[in-house]
Amino acid sequence: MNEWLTDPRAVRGEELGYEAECAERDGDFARARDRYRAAATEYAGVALSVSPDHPNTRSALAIAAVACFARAHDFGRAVDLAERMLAQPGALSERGRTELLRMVRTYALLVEPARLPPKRAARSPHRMRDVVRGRLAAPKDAA
Amino acid sequence: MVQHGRVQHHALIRRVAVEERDRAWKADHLKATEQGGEAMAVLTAYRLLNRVVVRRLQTDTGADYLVRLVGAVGDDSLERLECSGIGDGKETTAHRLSTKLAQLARYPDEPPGHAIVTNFGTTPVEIHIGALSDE
Repeated sequence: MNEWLTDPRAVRGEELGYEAECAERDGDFARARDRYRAAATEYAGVALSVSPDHPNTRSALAIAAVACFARAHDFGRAVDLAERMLAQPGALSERGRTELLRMVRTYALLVEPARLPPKRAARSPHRMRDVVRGRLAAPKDAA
Repeated sequence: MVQHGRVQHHALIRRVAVEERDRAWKADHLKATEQGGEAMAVLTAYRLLNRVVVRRLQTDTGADYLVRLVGAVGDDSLERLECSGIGDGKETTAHRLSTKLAQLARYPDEPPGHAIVTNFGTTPVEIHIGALSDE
């Protein structure tokens, strides 16, 4: 087993993830979300440190982190982390890439509206005003 | 009875007697079946597939455990293990196994994933083992 899979953060992430699943089953959703968020942070820390020549390990830890952020209802961080992992070419297995892309597509729809890109402004925000002014100005110009 | 592809093995499962207090504490039938299925799968993977568990995976990550071949060369050679247990109902072990293999087949480019299903509702208990490469 490599150093990242035995990293204390990966071990702690697994423990916290299990505690979260148990809390979820018991109906304690606040505790479950708290544990999932903590697990995600632990996994993310290790996933980002895995060298690119270990794509299977990097993918497995990244998927675990993104899934935990999502189960904590922190979809923004889930998407951010997935995009960050995807940004480095060749550092993920094919399954890892496919799965993270699927997660980005799914969770991006659930990110709160404040995080969505702003709506583009209309090309002419004062179109009506300009039309009215233009009409009023036209007779003067003609005179 | 263990069905591994076309090969059948016979194995003995020793059940440990539990006290009434423990039985009441673990009264959730679904949970007990799920955890029993995981325990049997991990043991079967070790005894018959020569695989050891590396890490337990989170829900929604495409499998239940990461495993590796005992003595595998390279420390990044990871495989997925999907575990399942059947407590009662009409679903057959073979059907559940094909469902689990279909789940693993979403990523055919990966090293072969393994699925192990334990049916506690049959006598004797049935354990079916499958891998994508068996398909």
